[in-house]
Formats: sequence, C-alpha cells, structure tokens
Amino acid sequence: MDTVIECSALKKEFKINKRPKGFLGHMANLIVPKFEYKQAVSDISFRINRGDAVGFIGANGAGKSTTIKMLTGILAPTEGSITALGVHPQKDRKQYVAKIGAVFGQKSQLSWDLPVLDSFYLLQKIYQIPDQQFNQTLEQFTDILDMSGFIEQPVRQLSLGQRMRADIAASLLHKPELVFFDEPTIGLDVVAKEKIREFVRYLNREMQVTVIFTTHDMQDIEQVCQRLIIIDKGRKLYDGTVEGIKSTFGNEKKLIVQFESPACVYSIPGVSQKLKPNHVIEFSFSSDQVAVKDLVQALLAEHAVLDISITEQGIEQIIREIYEKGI
Amino acid sequence: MEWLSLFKHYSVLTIKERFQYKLNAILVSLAVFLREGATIAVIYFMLLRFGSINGWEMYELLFLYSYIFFTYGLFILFFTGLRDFEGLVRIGSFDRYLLRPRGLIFQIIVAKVDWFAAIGHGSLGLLLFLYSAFQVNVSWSAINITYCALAIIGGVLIQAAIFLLMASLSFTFISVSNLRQILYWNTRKFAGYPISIFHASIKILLIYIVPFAFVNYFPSQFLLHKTDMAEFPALYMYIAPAVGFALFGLAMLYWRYSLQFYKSTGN
Amino acid sequence: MKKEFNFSVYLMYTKTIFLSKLVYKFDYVLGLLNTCIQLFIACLIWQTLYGGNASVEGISLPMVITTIVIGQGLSNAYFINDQAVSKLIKDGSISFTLLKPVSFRLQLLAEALGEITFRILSNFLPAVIIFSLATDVLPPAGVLPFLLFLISISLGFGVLWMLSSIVQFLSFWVMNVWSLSTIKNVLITVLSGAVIPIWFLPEKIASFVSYTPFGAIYFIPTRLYLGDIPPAEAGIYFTQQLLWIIAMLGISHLLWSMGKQRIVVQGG
Repeated sequence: MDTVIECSALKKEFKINKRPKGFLGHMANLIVPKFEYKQAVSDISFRINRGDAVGFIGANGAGKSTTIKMLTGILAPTEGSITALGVHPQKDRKQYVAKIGAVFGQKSQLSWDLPVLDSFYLLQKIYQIPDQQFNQTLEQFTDILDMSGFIEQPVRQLSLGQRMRADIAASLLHKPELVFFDEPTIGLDVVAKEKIREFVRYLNREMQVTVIFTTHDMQDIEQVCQRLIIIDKGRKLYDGTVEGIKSTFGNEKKLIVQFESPACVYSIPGVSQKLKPNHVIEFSFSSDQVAVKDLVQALLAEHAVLDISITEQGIEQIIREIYEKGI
Repeated sequence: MEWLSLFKHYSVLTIKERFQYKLNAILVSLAVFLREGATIAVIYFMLLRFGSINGWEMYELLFLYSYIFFTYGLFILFFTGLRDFEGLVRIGSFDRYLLRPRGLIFQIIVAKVDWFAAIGHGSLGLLLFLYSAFQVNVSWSAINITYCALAIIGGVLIQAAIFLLMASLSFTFISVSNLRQILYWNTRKFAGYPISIFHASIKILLIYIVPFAFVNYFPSQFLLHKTDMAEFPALYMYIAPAVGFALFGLAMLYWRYSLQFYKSTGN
Repeated sequence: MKKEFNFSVYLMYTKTIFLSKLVYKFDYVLGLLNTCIQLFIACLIWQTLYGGNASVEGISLPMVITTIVIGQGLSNAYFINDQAVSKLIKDGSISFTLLKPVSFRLQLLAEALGEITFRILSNFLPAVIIFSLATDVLPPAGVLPFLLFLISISLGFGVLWMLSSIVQFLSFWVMNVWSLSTIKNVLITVLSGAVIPIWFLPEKIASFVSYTPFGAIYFIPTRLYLGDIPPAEAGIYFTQQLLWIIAMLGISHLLWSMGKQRIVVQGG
C-alpha cells in the first residue's frame, strides 16, 4: 500500500527557562540563563497509508498536539525522522504544505471582520488555485457543507458551527491529499458535530483523502476513523482498529446483583466484589477468565436474588481509565 | 510580479477590514499623525526662540527628523507584521504562516500591510521632507536624489533588521518587549537630534550598536555638509545606504537559524 | 443601589495594586532607566540650546531643567490606563462591576493611585535624586513655596485625572479610545509645559494655553516651587486649578450617567 506518512522514533524536547526568584536571580538569569528540559514526546513511530482515517487521542499534555505539529512541519523534532508525502516536512516546507490541509478547532484562519468569501479568495491567491478549479471546489463545498446561507457574512456574525464549517472549507480549497483535523468538534453542539463528522467521512471515503483526526469525543472517532492511535506521556500506547481496543483493554465486565437480604458471597477466583447500598453487590471480572453464565448460576443457586444487570465497558470508559491510570 | 498581486490583494483586504470601523480607522491615522506632529511642534517652538542647536538651523533639523518619520512610515507599511511578531508567536498564529506554501518573511510582510498607520506616520515625514528639502541648502542633482532614495530604503532596512532580530529572539525568549523598548524606542528618541551634541557613549550606541545614525544623521550630512561631521569618518556618509542592506542580510541569516527554535505555544 | 462610602475599601484597592507592582522588580529598573534616558536627552538639548548663556528672557537654565525634571518625571509616574473602562465595556464585565457595592469611579481612582504611588516612589523620586546630583535641579524657593507646591501638584493630578476620565467615559460611544487618549496626550505633551516650558511657547499659543486646563497640571505647581509665582498669588492659581477640576468633573459625570444608561438599556 501507498505510504503517506512514515515517522520513526520521534522525540521532542522543550527547553524551558527556569526563572530563579528575586531580583538578583533575574539579573543572573539574563546573563547565564538556566534551562531545564521537558519531554513532550519521547518515542513515537508509526506509518500511515493513503486513504486511512486515523484518530489521535490522548489526555491534555500527553503529546498529541506536539506530534501533530511535528507532522505538519510546524515544529522540528528533536530526534527521529518524518517523511510525509515523500518529502521532509520542514526542509521542503513549501512543497509539503501545498499538499496538506490543517484545521484547528481553536484557531480560525478566517479574517474575523470580513465575509467568509473574502478569506476564500485570498486563499485562492496564496495557493495559486486556477479559477476554474477554485470555482468548482467552492461550489461543491458550499453545497455539501451547506454554506450558502452565510458565505457572504462577516465571520464575527457566524455561529461556532458555521465558522467551523467555513474553516474546514478554507483548509481544503487547494485539494490537499492529507488533512489534519485538530479538535474540529470542540465546543460544538450535537447537530453541528454530526455535520462535521459526516463531511470528514465523505472526504475520506468518497474523495480518498487521508485524514488525521484528534478529539476528546470518542463518538467522533467511532464514526469517522477506522484506526486509532492513543498517546500517553509522550509514547504510543495503542495503535490498531477502533474495535480492537475493546478486546485489548475492555474485556472487563460487571455484574450488578441485588439480593433480597444482606448476603455474604464467598470469594470466587478472578472476581472482585464491591458492596453497594440496598444489598447490591458489584462483581467485576475479566470475560476471558470467568464466564458470565457460570457466575450467575452459582449466585442463583445459593442466594435469593431480586435483580441482575450486566455491563460491558464502552470505548469512552476504556479511554477514561487509560487516561486516569495509564496501563 | 505574482507577489505584487498578492500584496495588492492583502492590502485591499486590510483596508476593507479597517473600514468596517471607519471612524476608528480615521481616528487612528489622525492620532498617529498628531503624535508624531507633537515632536515636530516642540522642536519648532524651541528653535523659534533659540535659532539653532549646535549649528543646525530649523529647516536642517526638520530635514534630519523627516528621515526618521518617513522611513518609519515606509517601515510600518511593509513590516508591521515584523514589529508585532512577538504577539503572533505568543498566540500561536505563526503556525498558520508555516502551513502556507509561501515564504515566511513574505507572508509576515504582506499579511499585515497597514496603510492607515503608514499614512499617519509617513505622510508627516513626507510633508516634512518635501517642505524642508527645498529650504535647506542642497542642490537636488541626480546624484543627490539617487543617494537620498537609496538612503531612505537603507533606513527602512536598518529598522527592519532591528525588528527582524527581535522577532528571531522571540522564538527563544517569547517576551522581548522590554528589550525592544530599550533598544529601539529609547534609542530613537536620541536619533532626532544631531548626534554630535551627545556624549561619546551615546554616539557609539547610535553608530555601532543600534545604528540609527545611518538612518538619518549620516545621510543628512552627505547632503548638508555641516561642520560637526568633522569628528566622524567621512566614509560613514558614503556607506550609509549600504548599511541597511548589509544589516538586513545578516538579520535574515539569524532568522533562518532561529526558526528551528519555534515552540508553537498555545493549543 | 445605595453605595455606602467606606474609605478602607478604597484603601484596599490602592494597597493591592501597590503591592502587586512590587513583584515586577525588573520592570521597575527598566522604568527608571527609561525615565533617566528621557530626562537626560531633554536636559542635554536644553543645555545645547542655551549654549553657555546664563539666562534667556529672564529664565535660567537650572529653572528650565527643574521644570523638565518635575514635569516629565511626573508624567512618567502618572500612569493612567485610559482604556480601562473601554476594556470592561468590550468584554461585557462592566455590568458585573456596577453590581459591586463600591463606587466604580472611586475604585478606578483608588487603583490608579496605587500604581502612581508606586511609580512616584520607585521611579520619580530616584530619578529626581539622580538628576539633582548630576545636573542643576534647583531646590524649592523656600518652605512655604514647597508646601504650596505640594498642594498645587495634588490639584494638578486632579486636573489630569478628570481629563483622563472624560476620555475613558467616551468609550461608551467610541469603540476604540486609544486614538482619543493619544490625541489627549499629544495636547498635554505640547501644551502642559512639561516638554517645552510655557515661557518659551510663542505668545499666541501661550495665551491660548491659559484658557485650557493643560497648564494647570505640571506648570503651575512648578512655578510655585521655583518661586516664579509669589506665594501671595497662590490663591488665584489654586482657584484656577479647582475650577478646572469642577468643570471637568461635571462633564465626566454627565458622560458617566448617560453611558451607564446605555449599558442598562442594552442589557449589558
């Protein structure tokens, strides 16, 4: 398959000026500054193929943004190498960025006080897009992203959802082969999120654009991406299919049982118990060690049971646990 | 000439943007104009009473001053982005420049073309220059005109080089506003007067460290031949226009080197 | 809403700002350097202009230098953020501020005084000491002139504060008060006598200045300090300063009440 991005042993260290306290310290710092190093990314390698839709997740400060910035060529890696679309993102910056698009949910690239269309025309000039291609693309996006209602309004009058759609269109006018979406759904309502997911899916499946997507919303990932990369403390924690994560991390099940009277259940190997109010006991176990059927039968045989329910971890919960505990 | 069309496009956009707040745009130009005018008014009133300062008559002083304003006006037209670069780095907007397939310095220049401030600053400089140029004793030969034009471009580039240096430093230090205040704005206050009136240490500052003397003093001396030039090497008058080109070149090299330290703060 | 006047509350504002300034020691050194450079250039230029003459039109060089050091030194210390109200209006927090049980205008003044006290102690006084040692800054003409100077300089600050508050409250109508504030500062620079003593302004302009509040900020106090205004006449000048304060307070109050109304109507 055609490789779009190949990066190996990426490492990024930030040099932080350590400011000593007090006036003398400040003066001394001006002459001989003291630094300490903080590792944002320690060791990350992966390969992304043409047509992939890859979700990037990680807690705040995990190194996700830093990685994306290195991939787009904004930051230079301290160590390691990146080859993207066959070039070196920093050395061949102009050549590289002409073929990529980047959408930042928190940072608009549109002029705040001008109509959306004005920003688009400017981008046409910057990317030197031929008139015919530009008009065609613009028409297509206006249609799919439903922008005709606000395309002539100044950006400051748009809702966040409209602005985001306009921003996405702005990043795609030059028909990039590879597009980075950095938290494009942040702060949006459910409907607006849905529109954006739908569009990214369309972009990826119908137009064969390679998509890299970061978010804190697991539904974004489930609906848009086939592949998931989880980053934690500057390292890659997981790299595989979205479904695969459930079998790797999420085989924990919970059986919640309400007994008629206070019950005392002998400990069962592989199952942990947690006492809850109203004679409820929560049993947690790994589904490949204990079969649900055996457990239920054993309980029903010895106790009077009022109610039983069973829960499986969702992706969201798995991720939350990973964020909280690491692995 | 493709860049010129982009420059034009950006100019139209910024003007359009400013005209969203018409009254404000006009008031800003007026305020800037008056602020610069205040300095001139003070010098004018002083010399009405005292006649001359170290042998420099009123028109000669205005001529000397007009270089500062006129070059700054041109500087602000092309290099506002450079002057405000620190802010661009702080809020992380420089990221977007890195993501566009155009030269970085080129984008910094064209993206912030500020006609209104340029008119405020530059028009006073130009008026002052035209007004004083015919009052002072200069024969406007082809050589003098060419020299003058080159010296103005050189003067713009000297200031651009200073700000490009600060912009490069902002990759590593983030906050350079104090440094800028001392090196640029304070030094500029000296530069309005003939540097011969100052103490030796300030002369060294203005010639070798923050070379404002090459923006206005030496170019004016080339045309005016005042006696106080005797204490400086005559060579400085002849190389004045070239200083800007050389410094800007050096600043560009340092900029290229510093780019790798860009940290991209913010989300 | 009835707002009770409690002096200690405002003193707290002053103290808080004052203490917060102490943290930035480096800025303080730079600020002092800045003032010294500015005064240094000004003194040097006047020296060059005098070119060895003992006095010009009855004014001696030390008198000029004293005027410059007091006027420009204080104008650096009088740091008033003309855009404070404008910022509150833009981000909408003005209505929140108005709900507090303190007078907003007194709060502004108290905060400004905190900053200014800090700057006078850390910037103005050291600069005056440095320049008294290095150049001919004159001592006050006597104890009485000095006391009158202290009264007059406080009134002078009042005049400056009222000018600034008019500009500030215009921000209810003008989007960006930066330009208005700049224009006001230009007028103060040229006409207040801090940069070019009013003695040396062309006669027409000097007589125009006497019909404006600008001379009442730094120049009247300095003349009292130098004994250029005999103490017996001080009363006339105090009245003049007071009248300016009252007149501008009237305008500022009108703008404030009308502006506040606009906020209420717009619903904040």
